Amino acid sequence: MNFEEMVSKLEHFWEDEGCTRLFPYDQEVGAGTLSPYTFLRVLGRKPWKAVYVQPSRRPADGRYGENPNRLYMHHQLQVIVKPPTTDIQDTYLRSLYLLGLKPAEHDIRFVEDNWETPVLGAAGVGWEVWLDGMEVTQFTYFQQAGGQEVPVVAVEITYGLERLAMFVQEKKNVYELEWHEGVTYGDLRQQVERENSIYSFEQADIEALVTMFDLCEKESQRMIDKRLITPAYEYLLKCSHTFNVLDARGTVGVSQRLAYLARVRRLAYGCANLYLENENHE
Amino acid sequence: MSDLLIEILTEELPARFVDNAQAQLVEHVTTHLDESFIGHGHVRGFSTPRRLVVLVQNVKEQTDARTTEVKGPARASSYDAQGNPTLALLGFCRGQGVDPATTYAVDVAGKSYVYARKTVAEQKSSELVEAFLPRLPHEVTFPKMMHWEESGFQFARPIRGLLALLGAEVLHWEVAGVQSSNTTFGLRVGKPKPITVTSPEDYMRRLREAFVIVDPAERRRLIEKQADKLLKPLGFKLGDNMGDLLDEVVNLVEYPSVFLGDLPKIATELPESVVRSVLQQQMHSFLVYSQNQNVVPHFLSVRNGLTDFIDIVQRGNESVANARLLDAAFFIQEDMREPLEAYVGRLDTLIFMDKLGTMATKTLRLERLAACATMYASVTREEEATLVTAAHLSKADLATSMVKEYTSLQGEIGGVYLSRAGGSPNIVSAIREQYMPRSPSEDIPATRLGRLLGVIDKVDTLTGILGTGFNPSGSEDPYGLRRAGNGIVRTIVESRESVDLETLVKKAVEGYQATGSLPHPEDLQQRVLDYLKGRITQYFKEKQLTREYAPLENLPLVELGSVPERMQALADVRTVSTSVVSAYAVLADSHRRIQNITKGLPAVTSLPADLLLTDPEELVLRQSAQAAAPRILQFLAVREYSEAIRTCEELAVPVTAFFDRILVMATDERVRSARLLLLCYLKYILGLVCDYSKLT
Repeated sequence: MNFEEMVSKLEHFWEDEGCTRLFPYDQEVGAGTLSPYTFLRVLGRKPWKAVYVQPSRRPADGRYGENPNRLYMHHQLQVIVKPPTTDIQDTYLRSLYLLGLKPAEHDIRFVEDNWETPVLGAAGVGWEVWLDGMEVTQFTYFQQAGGQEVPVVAVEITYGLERLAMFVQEKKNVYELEWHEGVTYGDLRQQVERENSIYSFEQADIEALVTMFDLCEKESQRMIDKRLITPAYEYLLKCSHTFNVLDARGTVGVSQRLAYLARVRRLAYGCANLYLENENHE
Repeated sequence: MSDLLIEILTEELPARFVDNAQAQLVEHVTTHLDESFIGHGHVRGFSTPRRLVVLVQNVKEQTDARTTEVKGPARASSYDAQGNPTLALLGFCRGQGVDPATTYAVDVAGKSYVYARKTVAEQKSSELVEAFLPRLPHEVTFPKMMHWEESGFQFARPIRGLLALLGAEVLHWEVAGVQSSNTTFGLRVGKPKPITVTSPEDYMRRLREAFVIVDPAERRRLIEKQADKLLKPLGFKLGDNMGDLLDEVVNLVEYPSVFLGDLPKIATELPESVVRSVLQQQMHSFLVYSQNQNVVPHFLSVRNGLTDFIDIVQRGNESVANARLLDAAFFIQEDMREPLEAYVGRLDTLIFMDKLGTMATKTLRLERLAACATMYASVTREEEATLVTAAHLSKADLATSMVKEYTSLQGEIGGVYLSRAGGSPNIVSAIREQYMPRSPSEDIPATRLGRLLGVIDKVDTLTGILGTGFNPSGSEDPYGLRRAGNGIVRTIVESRESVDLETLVKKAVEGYQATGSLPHPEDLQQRVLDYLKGRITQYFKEKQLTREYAPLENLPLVELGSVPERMQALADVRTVSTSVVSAYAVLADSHRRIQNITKGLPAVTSLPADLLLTDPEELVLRQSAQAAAPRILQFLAVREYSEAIRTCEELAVPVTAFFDRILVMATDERVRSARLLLLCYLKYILGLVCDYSKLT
């Protein structure tokens, strides 16, 4: 089963489970959680069910396209079910059946792993799912978002698509994965990985990025003041990615680092509060 | 009589919570049964990652009828001036269904109250159990809780099923939107099919058929037996101290099947500590050893499930081990492009602790403390210089990719890198040992420098945390304060090292003042020392040596390392003592008297030559004391504690004669102060050995 087939099977599976199938958010994010389809929609009381692929960029994890396991950008399949159904774990296990992974033939475990994104004031409780020892999914019950307890819990299921594909295709190197018949992951991604690693480790213009961060932060705050959540949040995402590049570049000291994170968090709280106020007015 | 079975079915509980939750449930069920007056037999707990179970044997169908006393209103407000019952009394009696004439008065803490005796009829146990069942899940607490449904109920993980059977009777209860039923679920294989159970015995049988072993002790035995079966024929065994990992694995599986995997080739090129860390911590698997303690190229792992298709599981785990070890090898290769020294320069990007600056400033403080080691430890100048180098490099590995990825390898990795680069073995072992003992079961550092570096590091940490104003009371230990304190105490006591903690702590406080400010520096040296004294007392208490430690409690902290030998000496001297009234008993009495009389006066280490002493008893005592003191000091200096004690005992006779004949509080002030001074001198001499007054 090639990469695109695998993704499409999972997407359709969750679509059949009542999830809205969405496209990836068109901005750089570090994880599917940062997409407004997750971060904003898990706030408040409104039910929400969605599935989407989210390419996730982590500049510090770049390895110049040379490491068989680590990537500057990997792909997550993100599922949000709010409120969670009582058989959500079984539903997830059924999705693995589609990929030919049956519990009777493997060792599938839910191993405690609690998750936290301080930059969003978000935290959850859950597991990493092990497939014969390999961690293939993060399974989380949101407990907090935007610094507040969530009134209605959402389940977030994040499939690590490369890991899962390597398992299904029995490949030891991510670049050898078959994406489409005759097209490998390496054909599509290896050069991009190399270039982005060179950029974030060696070439990124620190001064320009610092300025960009400041500008995006200002713009985001200005939009919060105008009560326009979407542009405010989109500029927050730009801040977050800019900071990640700066961090990978190795120029951010400890106290600076905390200060940057606090600045992004302030914007996240601002957006979350606006979102909740809107919901309460409805 | 029938058995009672209670099951709370959950999503996978964290392995580390399971044992404790099981124990809590047993305790609460027992309490509820007893408080409901339900006669019952043995209460046993069981658990798996997905269920908490209690089985109570021989539960009586109903409670016996019984009489009970109920407290009513105060007698004073129960009758009016004419002696007629008031509304208060009548109301109470109506509520309890008793006749006012049958009430009687009882005095409670000096006040008289009206009491009624009433009869409680037999009650059905099933109804009483149903009444407490819904409370049970609320009473179990976990270190980390979550909510998942609209009521906001908190548990470790979502509850998905409730079951309670009293014999064949299905009991009804509801918690967090879950209704009880007579069904449960087995191991996660195939489509989940509800299993209907008809009785507690049936529950055990049906679950076993559905591949769930509910008894953790049985799962543990199974794992050990299967492991033995695989390893013995090959002449292999598991490593020592695998208990903690085994405990964890037992609670990660409902049905264990052990398999042996091949370690990938890359493992032979990696340090054993790294392979162990990857296998044990990341994969919950065991390294395998030959009889002569060498790692063999296999690992042992436990599958949750049957042996069917276990070869697939084995291959999967082997390939994960390969990927993870390759990853580790990659990190090591990358890290070793630069010498360890290079990473010291990057410690300013790592926070030591909130409000306590970076690892770079921590390193500076450790170097400073190492550089004055001769002031608080009996080390040579050369050792001191080596200690400074070790301190300088001690935290460098925290900036390496390897430690960032595998934090538990801190120290170990620094040692490996330095050793591979040809570093001095003394420094390598000191860096490697600095975090020992990480747990109560781990040994203290084996080398002198390792012990000193460890103590310096822990004293610095302790000083910093207490300097942030953190109050160490309570059972939580969020900053590892207790671990640091216990590590210092164990290292010194168990190595018998002589470390002047008072000076060391003083220097540590100065270190913080030099590298930045602390939020709460007031009385810091004293607070750190007090905390350490608390840990010392606790240490001996846990060793059940509180009584033996009491006479040594007031020794200066620098003597901590000599406490075990002193205890031994005191015990020895007492067992060989043959006289009818032993010297130590006499000294115990005298020491107490001296302490009372000289209360508030400092001990003195010498006596002036012109002291106004004239009576023979006081002259003899002075002479004996002055003769004994230098000899006691000499014996102490060479750690001949038995000899020191024996020398001290020579004072028993003259001190008794002194107290028999001499009135210390003489009317002549000069005489009185001379005698007090003599006793202050004795207080000093006796105190060198122990506090005799606390010998029992």
